[in-house]
Amino acid sequence: MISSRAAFLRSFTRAMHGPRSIGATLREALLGYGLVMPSALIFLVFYYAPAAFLAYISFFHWNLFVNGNQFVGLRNFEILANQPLFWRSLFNTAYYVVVLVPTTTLLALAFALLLREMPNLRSGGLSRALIFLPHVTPVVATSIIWVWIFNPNFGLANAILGFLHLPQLNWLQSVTWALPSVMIYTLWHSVGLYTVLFLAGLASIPKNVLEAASVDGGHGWFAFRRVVWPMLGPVTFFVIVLVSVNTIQTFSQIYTLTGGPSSLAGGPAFATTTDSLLIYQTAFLYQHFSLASAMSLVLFVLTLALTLIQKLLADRIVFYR
Amino acid sequence: MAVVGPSGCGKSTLLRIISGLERATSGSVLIDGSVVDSLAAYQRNVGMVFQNYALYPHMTVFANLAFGLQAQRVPHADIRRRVAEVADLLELSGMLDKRPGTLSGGQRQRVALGRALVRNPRCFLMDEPLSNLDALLRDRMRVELRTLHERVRIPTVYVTHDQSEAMTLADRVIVMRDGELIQAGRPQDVYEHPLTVFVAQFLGSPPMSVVQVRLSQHHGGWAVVPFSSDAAAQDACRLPAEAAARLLPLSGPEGQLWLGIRPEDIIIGDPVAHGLDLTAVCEMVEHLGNRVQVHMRWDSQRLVALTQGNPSWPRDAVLHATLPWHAVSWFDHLGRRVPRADDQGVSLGLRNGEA
Amino acid sequence: MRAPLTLILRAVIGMAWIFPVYWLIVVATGARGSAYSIPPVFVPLFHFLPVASVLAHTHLLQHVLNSVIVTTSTIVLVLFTGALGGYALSEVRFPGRSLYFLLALGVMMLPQQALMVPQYVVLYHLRMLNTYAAMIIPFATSTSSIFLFRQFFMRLPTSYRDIASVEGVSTARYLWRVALPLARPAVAATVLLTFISSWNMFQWPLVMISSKSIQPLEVSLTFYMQAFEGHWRQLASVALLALLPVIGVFALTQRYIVSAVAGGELAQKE
Repeated sequence: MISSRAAFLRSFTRAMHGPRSIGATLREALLGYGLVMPSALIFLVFYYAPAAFLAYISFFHWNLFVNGNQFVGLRNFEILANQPLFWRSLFNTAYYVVVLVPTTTLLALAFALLLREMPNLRSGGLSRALIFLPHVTPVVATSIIWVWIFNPNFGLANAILGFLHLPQLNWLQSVTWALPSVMIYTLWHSVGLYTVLFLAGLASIPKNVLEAASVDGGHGWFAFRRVVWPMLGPVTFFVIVLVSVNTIQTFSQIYTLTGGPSSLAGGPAFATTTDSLLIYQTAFLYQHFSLASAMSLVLFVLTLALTLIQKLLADRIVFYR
Repeated sequence: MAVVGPSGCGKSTLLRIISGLERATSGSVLIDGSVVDSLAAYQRNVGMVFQNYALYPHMTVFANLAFGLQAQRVPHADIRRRVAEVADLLELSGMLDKRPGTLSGGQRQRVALGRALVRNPRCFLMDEPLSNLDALLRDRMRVELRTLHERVRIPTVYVTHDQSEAMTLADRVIVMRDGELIQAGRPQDVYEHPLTVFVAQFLGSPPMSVVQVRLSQHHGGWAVVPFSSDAAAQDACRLPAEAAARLLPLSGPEGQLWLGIRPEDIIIGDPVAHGLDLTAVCEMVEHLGNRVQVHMRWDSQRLVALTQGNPSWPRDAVLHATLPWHAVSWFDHLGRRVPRADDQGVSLGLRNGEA
Repeated sequence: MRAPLTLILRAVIGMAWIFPVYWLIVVATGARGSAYSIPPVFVPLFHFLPVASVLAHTHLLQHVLNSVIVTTSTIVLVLFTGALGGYALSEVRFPGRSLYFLLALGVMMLPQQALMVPQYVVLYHLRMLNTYAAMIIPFATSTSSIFLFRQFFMRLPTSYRDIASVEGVSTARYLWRVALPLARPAVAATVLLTFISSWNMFQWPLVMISSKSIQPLEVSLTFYMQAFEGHWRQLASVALLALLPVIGVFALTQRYIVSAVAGGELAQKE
């Protein structure tokens, strides 16, 4: 009797040292590689390879259609440094980013505070949708409307200025106002996204914290300053990073609002020539690929540095909050 | 066969190894006497039932039952016939078009069983199948499971942390702890002849009372004293000579041993001839309807006894309890069973190893 | 802040933000010259004749078709690669899995503008310039879809996968019949996000596509901006055609699209 039971149990898990099944592990690994292959290939071929290639072509005198690439070291960067237009484009880009980051962030925050769930009010769902809609619209299609709005003669912008008894502007045709006009469009187009991000941040603040603040007599500005604002820290930093990364790379609206396929884009008088626009024109209008690559590398490093600095800063500040 | 043990002891892992979902680092798995190590999970032809049933919520009951068969390219007519058979057996026929979300817990449980059954498996593997049900339903499903098992006679490995489920459902019980098999055997055998203190205290409700004692010299013989006590040995606690001879070499450096007794074996009141008579202090008397559970303290050690009748001892009453020698399980100072006369002829499982 | 004031402010801002889009509809379907009238006419007249005539007299339909081809193929492919990648990340153990995770995450850090030139060179060497493939293949996967699917697959109980292996259900079948249907929100979010980015794509085709016949609608609009300069009604009609599908989808899935887009952005945060 004992032996039969024991035999059964031994058949159950027999103590016998066998090798770990390599076959199954290998099969699972192969399955994994098969599954990630399509996306990994796309990432590598169309994104990582170009990123690596970028550094390479910036140090060569290089042309797509002519053989014989010549190593020129920092020569491309030297040319750039002596190009007033390159410096102008950097300045325009910086101007564009420096104005848009705070205005977009503050406006989005204000909208979010206005649209958030309030105890005695229906949520601002419809308004939120209306503000958000522009963000998903195609840039060229909506640029067409804004070209009309900015039209000096019969556009809405000047109609409003006239209504307010303010001097009329030339908007997109004015050296001073062209870039700000693009900024207004960008603000209109993108603020909805950041508003929604702030709304998500506001929604994640525990209700009892807010209630505790109002019980303590905190109302309005005080409650915001002491309770809401500190808790929005992470979202705010995230929004700032996102706005800067997005604005530093703006291309489409500048291209369409300031002239489109005609070589006028970036005007008037290069007032709206930002880095990405200059890269586009240098490479695809004038076929100076090496020079465009050198500019791209500058933009690449700037953007990445901006992202990293802000991420580091955000981690520290959010951590020590 | 039921596998029982406290949570985290490796019961579920054992089941996953048998099913082929996980690989053992060593050893091999045999089903029906043949090695299945090299077979993938589905080739082993086992039917599994999970604690959460794992029914696909977006499929109807029929689709859930048929999914595995479809994957095996079983002809449609066969699928329909087999699902109908199983649905009939489990009384699911009326709900084949419903989704699992609309079914009750017991019905879902039956669908999960049906899904395992429909493939005609060589064995069933069930992982805590009843623990998601409420107590009342659990009792009913337990009966249903037992009936089903008697009708289909498919070998079943049933994993549970609930010892009473294991005791009532299984032909054989395996007790596990920390990934090790401690004891295996018929439920009654394991219950009456626990191999270690752990098994003794794990099975049964209330479990076996296990107290630590010391052997102390007494009038040329040996007597049993509570381990913590310095009190002199008494006549009543005298150990029969042959038992003393057997136990002495197994006791620890200070003469310590473990003494186990099933609550129903303790006799309160009238002393019997061959037993350990002790004086205990009553702590609490619980009336459970058909029986009475008495919590006592013997020196600082706890004992639980089950008696009949309607005793009304007050707290701190002094009780005379007798532990008949034939019912006492002895464990050496490391918690291993000291063989008893009636252990002969009973399989106590694989090993008599360390606890 | 008091409730009525808040409500009024909400309404004013909402109306202000939607006005340009509304105005486009007014001009496109209004009377001739409504763009010039001062004070402006604010009521749409729903004359669809100009829209129809624009469609009849230009190659616009071809561009619409191009956009539809590109967008639908991209959506299908992104669903495919995203579900596979997400499944690999959540369910399959293989050496290099965390590397793949970083690969997918890192793509979002790369500044797209700076890559345009080398990407052009890569497409040139792959003989992909000026093809539909140029607008589809590089966008046939996305980090957000991979992570969305990963997130949803991780929520499925492991016993689902276990029972499938015990029953001999293949990975492909399990993915298609069980995992994908149960990750329907991820599918929906991926479709919406891909639709928006693919339909709105502008700079990429502007650079990579020179042949007019396969240009998507967005790029062709810049051509019409010049051709119809001063013809506001026609111009607005063309823009309206590019805008309508987006507005339509948005109107139907408003609540959903907002959280999908915001969620896609928030995915980066981790």
